[in-house]
Amino acid sequence: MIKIEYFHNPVCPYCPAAKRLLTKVIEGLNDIKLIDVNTYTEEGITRGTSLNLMAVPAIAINGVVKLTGWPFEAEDLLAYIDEAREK
Amino acid sequence: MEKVWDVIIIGAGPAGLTAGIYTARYGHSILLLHSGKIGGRALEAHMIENYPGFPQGLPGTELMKLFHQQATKFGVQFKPETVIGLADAGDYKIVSTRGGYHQGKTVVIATGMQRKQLSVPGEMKFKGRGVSYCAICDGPFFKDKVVAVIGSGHEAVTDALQLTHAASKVYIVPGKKGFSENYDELALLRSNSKVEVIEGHDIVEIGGSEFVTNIKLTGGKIETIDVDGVFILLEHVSTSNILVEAGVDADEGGCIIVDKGQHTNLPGVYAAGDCSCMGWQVVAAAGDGAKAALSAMKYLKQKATP
Repeated sequence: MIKIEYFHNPVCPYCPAAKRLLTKVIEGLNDIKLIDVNTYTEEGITRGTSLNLMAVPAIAINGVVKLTGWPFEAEDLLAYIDEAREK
Repeated sequence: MEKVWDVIIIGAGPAGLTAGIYTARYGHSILLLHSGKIGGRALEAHMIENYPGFPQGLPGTELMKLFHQQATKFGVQFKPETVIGLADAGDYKIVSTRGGYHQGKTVVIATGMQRKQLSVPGEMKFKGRGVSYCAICDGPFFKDKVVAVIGSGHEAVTDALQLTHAASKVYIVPGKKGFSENYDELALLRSNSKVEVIEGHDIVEIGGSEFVTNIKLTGGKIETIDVDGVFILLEHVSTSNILVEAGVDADEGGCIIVDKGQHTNLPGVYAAGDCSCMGWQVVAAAGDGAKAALSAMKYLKQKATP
């Protein structure tokens, strides 16, 4: 199972667009576990800083930040998912 | 025959959404094209306290959610497509997007503004690794850290104040020309013990290895300041180049020229909100959107009358 953490917060204007693309990309993929991490919570900011995160939206795959900021491309996200599958 | 919309609105900020609410409420067919971010620059406002009707204030995200709901309720059709061209085909206009093209009897341009980049070495390299363009989004990552705010406008001043709640130290670098205006909040900024205003200098480089560690300034001599983060909050520039190329008149700053009814120089084409560089406030943009909608509906009525 591939763990995808989606980092966001409620005031981030770019996060909804990132979430829409992420949702579309992983739709139908059965080996993905998606975790929403709200960086406006103590738990969320702690998790983010533990991964050296400095911006949202961001996507970490299996505990490694792969994409930060918006926009990003669906192809890049798929490539990182494939990379995680091969490991 | 492809559908011909009564109004095609380009942009989903306060102006575009208001134009949609007004025109759709009258039963017109409305297509609103947007780049994926519904709400525009207003989404970046931490708290909007001067929008009438909301005496307690509310975050920009919440206010724009309400605009969106209202436009949807009246039947505005939203499509996330980036506009790449506009052409006048006589009875209707053709709006080209990366996904195809759409035909409209009228067009309301509400493309807003986009953030200006700093364009110094290190900016792209450290984007998301210390370089940020959104203080309210990324400020919490800089708790007890040292940050620099680059910008001379109102947003830079208010966001620098906002960042003092998280950061241990906030430098603000307005550039050699200084602050754009004598903002009310400048006194608060200057008296805040966490803030240091560095005037008379321009930033020339953002340095670091994996993450940002410093900025280099020039003001006669190069000076390096150690920071963990850099918030680039420069004033905005128009995004209407494509539309200007289509023949829409704009001034030297890229602002679309409109009259009191938001008419551009092209019949049936209107502009509203930040792209016409008027107001810079949500309420002003909404007012522009309403005026553009009324003008568009008057135009449609005239065209429909034999």
